Amino acid sequence: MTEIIALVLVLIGALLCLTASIGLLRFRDVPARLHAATKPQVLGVILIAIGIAVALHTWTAFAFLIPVVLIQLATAPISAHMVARQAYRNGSVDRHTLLVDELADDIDAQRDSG
Amino acid sequence: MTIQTTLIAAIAVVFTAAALLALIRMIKGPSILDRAIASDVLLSEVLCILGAEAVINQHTYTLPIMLMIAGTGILGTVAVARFVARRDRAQSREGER
Repeated sequence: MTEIIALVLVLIGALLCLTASIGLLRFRDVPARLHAATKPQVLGVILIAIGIAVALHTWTAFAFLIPVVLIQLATAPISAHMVARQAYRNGSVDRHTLLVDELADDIDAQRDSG
Repeated sequence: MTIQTTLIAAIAVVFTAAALLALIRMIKGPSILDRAIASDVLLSEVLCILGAEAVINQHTYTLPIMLMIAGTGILGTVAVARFVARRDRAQSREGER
């Protein structure tokens, strides 16, 4: 029974990876693709880590999985932030899709103040 | 066919489709940032596949590899983002001249 629960958790994680890849292929500009791409990096890895913990249930597996999940939680936003910042400065952002652009106001204010 | 076999087959099909779609975006990607995002997604899918393999075969051999991938996976994307920044600054400097 525990094996079936673990496999179902892994299957949900795999479906999250698939939705991320579909989003990567279908969305139009870099920030939209980034929005799709950062889902499996956190939620998919957490679901599969729970699946491993359920399937193996040993303390060794648990001791490996906690740092894996914590490192993913810490590093996924850093890389996503850096890519999004470069995309904004590069002009890879489709300006017509932005409803609010607070960064442009901030950049203008900084330029005016010297 | 037991329910475990069905689930394992479904997991294999879903992971294959996800990796292939990420590869298509990595080949097509108009800018280098799209390729960086696609490689990041592919790396997190490798992480998930190693975890799924540990669940299916009931062993802990792949867990240290998962730890190393989680720790070093950020480096590629950050390096690409820095490289793009430097190239853009050089281009804008040429534009000023």
